Amino acid sequence: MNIVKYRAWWLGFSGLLVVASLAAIFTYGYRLGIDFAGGSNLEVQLREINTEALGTGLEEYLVTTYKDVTGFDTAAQSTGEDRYLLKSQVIDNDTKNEWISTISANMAVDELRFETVSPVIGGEAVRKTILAVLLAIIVILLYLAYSFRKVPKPASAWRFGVATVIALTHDVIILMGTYAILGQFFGAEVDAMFMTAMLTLLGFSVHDTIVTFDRLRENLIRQGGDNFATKVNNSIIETITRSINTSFTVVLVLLAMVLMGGGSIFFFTLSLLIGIIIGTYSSIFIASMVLLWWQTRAERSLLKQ
Amino acid sequence: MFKKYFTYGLIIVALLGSIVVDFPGVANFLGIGANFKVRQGLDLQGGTQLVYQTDISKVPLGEEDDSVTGVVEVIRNRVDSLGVAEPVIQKTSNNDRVIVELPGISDINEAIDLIGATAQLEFREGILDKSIDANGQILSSNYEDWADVGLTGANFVKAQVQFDQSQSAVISRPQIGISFDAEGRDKFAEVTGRNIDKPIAIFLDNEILSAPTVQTKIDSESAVINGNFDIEEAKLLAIQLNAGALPVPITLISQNNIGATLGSEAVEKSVVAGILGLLLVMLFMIFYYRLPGILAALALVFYTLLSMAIFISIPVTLTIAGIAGFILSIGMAIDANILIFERMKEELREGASLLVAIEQAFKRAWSSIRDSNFSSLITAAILYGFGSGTIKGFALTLGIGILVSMFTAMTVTQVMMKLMANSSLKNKMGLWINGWNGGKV
Repeated sequence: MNIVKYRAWWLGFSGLLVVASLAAIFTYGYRLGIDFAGGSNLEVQLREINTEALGTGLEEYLVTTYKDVTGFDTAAQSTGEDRYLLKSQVIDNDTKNEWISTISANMAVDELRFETVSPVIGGEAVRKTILAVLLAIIVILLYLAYSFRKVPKPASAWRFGVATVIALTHDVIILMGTYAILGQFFGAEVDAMFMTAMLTLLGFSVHDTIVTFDRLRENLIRQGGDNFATKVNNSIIETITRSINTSFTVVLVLLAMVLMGGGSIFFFTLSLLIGIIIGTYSSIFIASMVLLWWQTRAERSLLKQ
Repeated sequence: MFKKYFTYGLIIVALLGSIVVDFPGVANFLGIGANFKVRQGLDLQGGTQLVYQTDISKVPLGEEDDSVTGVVEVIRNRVDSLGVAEPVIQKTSNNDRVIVELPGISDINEAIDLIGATAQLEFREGILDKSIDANGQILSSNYEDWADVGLTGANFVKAQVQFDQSQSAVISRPQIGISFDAEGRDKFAEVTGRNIDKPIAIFLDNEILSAPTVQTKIDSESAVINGNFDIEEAKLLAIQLNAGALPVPITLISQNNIGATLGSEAVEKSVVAGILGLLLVMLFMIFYYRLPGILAALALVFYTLLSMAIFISIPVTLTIAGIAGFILSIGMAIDANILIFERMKEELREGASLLVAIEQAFKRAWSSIRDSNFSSLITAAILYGFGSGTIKGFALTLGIGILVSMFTAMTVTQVMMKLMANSSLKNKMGLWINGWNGGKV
């Protein structure tokens, strides 16, 4: 099996995905979750609805009364049978109670969840999250520098590191692009959980790359004659089963959570799932190809001199 | 030899210990107190989390911290009177906030009202032509129109409900009897002394309760507050006064109520997802890696039992995100086994005997197992350090899971594989490698 032979295809395919992702990010943007932007989420279970007394459709009734009582616009998002989630700007407990007693005239209401976050807290959460992401990136870079310290010449630890980082950036951009699409069409919000998924992915994604590069390092020392491309290909082939299998077991548990885990962690586990798949793909098909491409160029320019 | 038996012993003790901690029935049967249970977060058992911002802008420099601690104490007293099991009341490290967690509470509105009531009782004296005229008649009941005399709830020792026994009262109405501390007594004497024949007003949370006219200087440790309250209101006020007034004003800035329905649904879904994930991983391992896969699957069951026991013992408060972290760690836990089994295949293909191949696989795969888990541990640590409650829960269970999985993969699987490789199974290579062809590559 010759994977490196088609490297232009892999790089081209990924380039396309990255461009599409960037386009999605800039066209759609993101909606911020309540923990970043502040606001109120109220989820209610309705029963014994007196449909005739409403005068309008149920959702419209909920939205109109909500606006009347709180003064804020909202949308009634269905989360189950006669179960609705209403999001708006910050309302306090009393206002929420007032709205519930208003609609209680026409139905029985169980308050499932009421969450309200002041924008002050939201701003701090954003700051903390950005700090965490920056710190994670720095620590992962240091970790890579440590992992590749023994790479023999003519390869350089520097190129190994940069290739890994390019693959990581590729993963992050595609995940963010996919999430922008999920946000636009399925209401996914960027919240602390999404950032957690992203950081978890950063940690998980580097290690498949490290396994492959670690093998390449061994092969560079052991196999004398072959050219760099062959060694890269051998290393990929030798480690591809474990790269795929280790990711596949994670995919299995994530799949179980996406399908059965319930609404509150749906987008979190879904973004982890997407991230793991992209991360595994890029470990095999991107990191090594970038490294090979760069090494070949470096060797060529050495020959010319 | 000693090391080998030590490992056996450790595994057996860990397994038995986990079973006792994980299954209440077993602990009961053995007569050990059944205090082992998973501590559930608010999102699983239902309850509310309230975040209050204290206003310390008027607190003298250097006393800010004490006043926030004071708020925590007062809120704790009030919450205790509600009878909530295992409430958590803590101040945040750097921004003068107080977080209150009330698991399993039934009436959230009552709790919010009680906690948020400032119960700031204050005596104030009149200002001429603003709140009172020269004859001692009251002109205004506005808080701002009365002057601060420095006599507040902080000077109370005790408040209790009494009944007005005086002859003028047609029906005996409830009133609040209060006792002052020494400082309060002095202040009260001073204020009443200079306000003879004039009213002094008693305010509760900036609302006037009553404004009796002072007959004589009162130099006594007790006083009585009359107001227009019924017996229930008087009782509540007495509770609030006894619990203490909040030293500084607080505002509710974040609130998260989760009904018990949503919580139990989440538990059910998480358990189903966890079991399904575990089964899928076990099936895959057995299908792909044969006998070693079966051993890895057994080690995974052991891993699950041990992790649960650790969560219960520490204890780790499990939330929805925490369970997600744990389930995710099941998928990651098996990675070590995959790296070992793949390495073992390589060793076998290169002509090593089974026992040597197993030995070498564990030895050589260790560096990649350590490295690959290390990057995940880094992110877990960062998430734990920076994250809010939900994220901390995820990071903690993921981190513990990864550490435990390294232990189970390196010891439990290894011990079982060596036992099998020393049995008659060692000659059935088809059990060890799918499609074994005698070592030809």
